Amino acid sequence: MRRYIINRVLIMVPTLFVLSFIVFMLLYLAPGDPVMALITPDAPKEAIELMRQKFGLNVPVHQRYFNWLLELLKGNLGFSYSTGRPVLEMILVRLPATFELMGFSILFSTIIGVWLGLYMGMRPNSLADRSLLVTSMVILSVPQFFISLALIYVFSIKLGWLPVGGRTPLSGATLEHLKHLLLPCSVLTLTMLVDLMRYTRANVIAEAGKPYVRTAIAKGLTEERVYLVHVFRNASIPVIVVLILRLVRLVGGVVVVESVFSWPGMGTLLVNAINNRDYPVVLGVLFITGVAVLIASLLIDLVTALVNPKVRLGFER
Amino acid sequence: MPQLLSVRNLSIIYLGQNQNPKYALKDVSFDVNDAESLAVIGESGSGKSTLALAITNLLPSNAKIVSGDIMFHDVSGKLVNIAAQPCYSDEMRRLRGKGGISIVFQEPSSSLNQVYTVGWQLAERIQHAENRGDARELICTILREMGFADPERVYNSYPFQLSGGMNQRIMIAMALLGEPRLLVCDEPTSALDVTTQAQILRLLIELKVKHGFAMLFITHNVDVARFVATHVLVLYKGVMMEKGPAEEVLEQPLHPYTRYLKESVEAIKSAKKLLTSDTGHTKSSILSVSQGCPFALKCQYRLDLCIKEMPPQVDTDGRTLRCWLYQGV
Amino acid sequence: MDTIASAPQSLRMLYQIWRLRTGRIGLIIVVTVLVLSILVPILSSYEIDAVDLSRSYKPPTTRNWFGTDELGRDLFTRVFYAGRISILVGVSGTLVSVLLGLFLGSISAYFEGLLDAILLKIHEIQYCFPPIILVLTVMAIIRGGTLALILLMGLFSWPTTYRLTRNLVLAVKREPFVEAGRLMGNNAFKLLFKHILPNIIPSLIVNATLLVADLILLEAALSFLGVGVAPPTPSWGNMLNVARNIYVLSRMWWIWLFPGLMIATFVVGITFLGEALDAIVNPHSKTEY
Repeated sequence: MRRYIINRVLIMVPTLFVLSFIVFMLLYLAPGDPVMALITPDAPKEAIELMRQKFGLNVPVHQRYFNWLLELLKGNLGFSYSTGRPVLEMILVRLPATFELMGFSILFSTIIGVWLGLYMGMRPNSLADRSLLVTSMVILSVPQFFISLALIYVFSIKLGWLPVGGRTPLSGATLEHLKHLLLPCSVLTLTMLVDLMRYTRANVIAEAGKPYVRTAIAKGLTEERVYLVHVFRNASIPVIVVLILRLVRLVGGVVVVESVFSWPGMGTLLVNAINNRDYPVVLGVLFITGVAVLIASLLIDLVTALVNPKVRLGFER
Repeated sequence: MPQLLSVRNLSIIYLGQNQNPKYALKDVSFDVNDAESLAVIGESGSGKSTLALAITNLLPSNAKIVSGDIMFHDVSGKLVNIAAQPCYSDEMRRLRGKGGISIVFQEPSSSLNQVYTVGWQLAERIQHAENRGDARELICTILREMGFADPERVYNSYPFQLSGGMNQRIMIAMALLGEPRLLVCDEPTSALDVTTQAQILRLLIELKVKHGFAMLFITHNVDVARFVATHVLVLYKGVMMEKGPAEEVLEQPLHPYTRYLKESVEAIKSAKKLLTSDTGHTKSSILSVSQGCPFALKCQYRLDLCIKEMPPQVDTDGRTLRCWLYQGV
Repeated sequence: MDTIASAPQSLRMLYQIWRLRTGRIGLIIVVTVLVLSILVPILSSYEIDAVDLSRSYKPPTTRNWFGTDELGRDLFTRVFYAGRISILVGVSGTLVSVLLGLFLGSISAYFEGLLDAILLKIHEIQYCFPPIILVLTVMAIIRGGTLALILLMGLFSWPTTYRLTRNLVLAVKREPFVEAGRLMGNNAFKLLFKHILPNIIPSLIVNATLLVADLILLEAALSFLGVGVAPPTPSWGNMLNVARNIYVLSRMWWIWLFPGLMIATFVVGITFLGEALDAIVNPHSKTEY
């Protein structure tokens, strides 16, 4: 097991290097001179040279990459072109909001989605099953921003129950905070839930046809036990594996949903930075996202190893 | 003395995707008595696996029992019609749990759950079906009985860590933990290599003598049947062709199909040419000649009547036959 | 049945799609929307940019079935013109993505070795990022137009097709008939085109259909954020952009409801179509309907 973990971590290292290299190259090649953004255009040449030196811009490329990498390991992602503040700081300020949104969405969609998927898998082609399938397909076909707009229209404007957007700090009134959280979280949860539900269902149905399930029934176990202890345990393994894909999709959804609800998270930070041509921030966010996804995939691999004895004991991948 | 298992006029169909139902079993009737060992012989497509699944109430959802009964006498003398029971009914669970019917499948490795240890799966059999007890002790004892030298290690192993033969022994152990009166074996050795086959067969016979259960043994191999069975039932495309005491049927086959089987086996052994023509073995069990005898088209003794009408079941000379040749004899 | 068997492959496929309920619904929806979008200049008496400020912000009436927007333009006309654009972008993007993924997946699976390892690594890294973020970033940097949008959307969604193609080709590669073809002296490309690819085309078609649905949603989201198709060219996404304004959202429901519903309807249609195709191509997988 330990060897498995070490193996996975080691594989991640070159990926991280490649990622950092790509990010650096994009930053280097992106139009816009950082210095020109900070001083007046007709400043004397010496002043410009001084600034360049200060920012370490007049050094050959490979050395710049090396310096940048060094800084990166120290936790320095550069400075924003528009605010001049450290990029990492800007990201960290926004991170809790996005984590909150994503965290709750993952939590609810996993619990509800997987449970529904199991239920549907136990009774395939029943009325409940069919209607849920059709409903889920319709939900997946509607753009998330449209669902967001519609929800705002119904709940915030027409009914006035919930605020239109934004986020109150966590330390403040909890009810208010939850009211702000409810709609954006619902949109993200809905899409991911429906997706997980279908996938779980498919796996449950596939597993239920396998020989060991027959053995379980032949042992005299109840239907609940057969499905929960035997079928589900096996069916959940591919669901866990596929979680990483769903997570990436969630990140994409977060960007749009944060934008519609004016939720002060990394998504809106990214969109604003793109509009302001603030490349260090843009690439900083992208880099952090990449790293986060890689770490998440590592964690998911670990969970898979825990749950699947074949992997744990080295019999598989 | 009442029969242990009594199957009457059992007909089962499989619903296809295009709604063309295929008959897997047609009007099959037979009995199994205590301490008997009935071998059901047939090629693939003969419906023998369907029979095993029907008796243990494990048929897939696209299978329907069209007609017939499966009457089983449990330990307390109660008569249960398995054909009328839903899969997870309390009755079925009781029968599976203790003193009823157990089954051993063909593929031992895929018949075990790969994410739980073997010991855990065996313990589940006792703990959740009927009585609790000191499961571990009991299981190690029974594993020793199966021939395992180190039961403790096996208990903690996963199925994928063990060989096919070992897994099959575990399946047998699992079946016997339920103290069955009837053990159904669905080609338990077909997926194993020859030496292991012999070991498992010998083990089954030993256990049968020791514990005194009856056996319903499904196989396509005539030699295996000869080794294991007291009685034999020959199936072809879902229809019973011949039935009777094992030695008699296999040494002196009356039905043309049984004769053909015997000849084929001998031809393989001595590389002789077949006297009868090849059946042109097809996989489907659709009764293409739905009215008459399914073997008619390939039978060298075929009469016109054979194609038009299904011969009825007739008892003669200690055997039961379905063949127009033996009507009125 | 005799005539069906002798009809060309595509017609036979259509018949099979029609037989399934999912296929029927999908086909009806897709064809209806396409026909309406194509024929809209004939059906509608309005120009898409016919500004009439005296009739701005009017709700649906018999004159303007979907109402009018802030410039008095007829929304029914605009919605279906937007349909042309959105569907065109979605389909073109899919084409780019499929061609790219198909090519890279084929060579990756066929030649294996270092090339395969590198491509796998690159695709793995790209998988970490949702396409919307990547397209968003690059579009903003280069300030591209619709063509750039199509190319980028295709470029950043190649991983799925790549992975699928690679798996399929790897599987087919091991088949005996491929080995036989190689022994007969066929070179790599002939082998790929004549023998391997025809076997995987059906699965790829299913994948492509579902990809169209994804890309239409992607274009809508990008245009909604202001980075996709640029006004005055209408697309379903950018028509919804105006609803970001609370005033418009609350008072002029027709401006955003209709484009949104159109997207949903069309994507449902395409998805049904994709599922029907999947049922036809993989008749043994009993997973869904």
